[in-house]
Amino acid sequence: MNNCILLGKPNVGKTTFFLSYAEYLGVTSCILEFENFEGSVTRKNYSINVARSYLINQTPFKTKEICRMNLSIPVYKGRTEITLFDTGGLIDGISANEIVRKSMAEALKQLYLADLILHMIDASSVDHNCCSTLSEIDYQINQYGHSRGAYCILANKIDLEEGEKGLSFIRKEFKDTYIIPISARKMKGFKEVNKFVSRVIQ
Amino acid sequence: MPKKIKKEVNYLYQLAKQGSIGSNEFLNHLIIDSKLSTEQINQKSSQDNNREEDSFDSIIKELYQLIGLREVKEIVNEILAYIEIQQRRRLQGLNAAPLVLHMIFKGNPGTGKTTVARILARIFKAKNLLSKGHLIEVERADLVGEYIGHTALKVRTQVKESLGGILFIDEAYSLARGGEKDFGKEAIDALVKAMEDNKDQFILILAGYQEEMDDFLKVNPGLKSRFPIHIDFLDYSIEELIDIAELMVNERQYSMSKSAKAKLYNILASKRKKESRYSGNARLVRNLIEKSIRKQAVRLKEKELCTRDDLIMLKREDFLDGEA
Repeated sequence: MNNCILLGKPNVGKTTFFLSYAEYLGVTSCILEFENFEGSVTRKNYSINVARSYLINQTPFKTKEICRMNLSIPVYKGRTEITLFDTGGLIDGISANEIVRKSMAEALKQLYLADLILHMIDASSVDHNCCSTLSEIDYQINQYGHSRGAYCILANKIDLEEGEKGLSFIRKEFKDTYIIPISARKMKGFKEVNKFVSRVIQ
Repeated sequence: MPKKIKKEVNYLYQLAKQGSIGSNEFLNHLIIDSKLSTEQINQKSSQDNNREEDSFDSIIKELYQLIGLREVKEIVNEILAYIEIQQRRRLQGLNAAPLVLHMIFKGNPGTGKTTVARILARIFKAKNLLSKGHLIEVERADLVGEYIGHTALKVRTQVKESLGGILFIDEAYSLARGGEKDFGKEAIDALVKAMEDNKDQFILILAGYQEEMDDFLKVNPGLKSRFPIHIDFLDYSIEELIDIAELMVNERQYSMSKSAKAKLYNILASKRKKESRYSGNARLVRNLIEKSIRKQAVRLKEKELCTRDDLIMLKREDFLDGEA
């Protein structure tokens, strides 16, 4: 079984991508497994649209528990099962909020266990100074991903006006990393993601 | 990949939860940890570099273990000998022809074209002809664009991805289908250009059904001369299919009784009479066997006691309604 992890700063669109990607692969109702900090697992069955309204929100740190879903990815003529993990957002330093702290520790532990790392960066906000802006931790994830091999950057929100400019900035910053421009909301660039995933896990 | 959680990581995890260390420190530890482990792996791999040679033998062995495909094996042998001699000639300072290894595979579905292509990629890698030895499998939709100029771009990206490996175009004849205004022609032109531009860096394999491929090559005479190697994948004979069946059954730790084998022979023979094109293939055999395994399960479920032999043996009645 291949474990594939999605991570990045808060509010970059990890959960949006998580659900849209499942929809792109033809899933209409998803079984989500939430793992809370004590290690117990809750299973819930949602349709994609319901899950969207339930899980996605403007406020940062909406996702707190690790949420996973089994997906089958087309590889050559067959299909391969992977488990996609959605994680809570990561920020620099020590958070004062205990729940956020736990969620970050959980995400980093999953990062250590994952076979394939999808690192999401918000391309539209590189110039701003908000919680989804590129920062130290992104560079660290990049470094870690490089040493692990199966790693790529998803530059999200390219459908927004500033996305294009942000994308070229990200390209410049992470020169030797494979970068896939996507829009999780408009489902752009998913084909490339699919290709990357299937190439890495075969 | 590290699967077990190291004690250290668990400890860090606890610390991060309590708030004694931040996310950055946690990650820093992970980075150092994985760097150390990759260094160890590198050291190991440099130690057993001479295993490469073994792997070449094992790949060849894998090829020879495929049932049937006599002609294919012969041609692969020829190619390998040719490569070897050209390399030796070069060492002696003689003129060596550049190695053009683009190929055309002709054969019905399920005759092993993709399987052989994948093995070839690995063989060429072991022989240092390809740097990566991967196989990119594409079809018409991956090459032909939707508007003017789109096609060349698509072809170029596929070629770029396959550099150092094999680009395998399944059902290649479909590129020439659809009349004058179709972009398929453009895709062929772009492919030819890419073949010239990246001569030694990738191998192009066109695959498809026998007749359609012959027509395809007739329509594009320039293509034929660019592909020096043509391999025909003949349909398996019924005996070979039975051998394949036995192999598949053994792989799954089952076995067939003699009368079950006879039954399977009958089914395959009657299939061949009815529809010739799709009958000669290994996929059909796999489907039949998987079906019989399910039948056997149903049969055994009603029994209260079954021995180890019962669980292994596929009997004649398991194949009974297999005609569908």
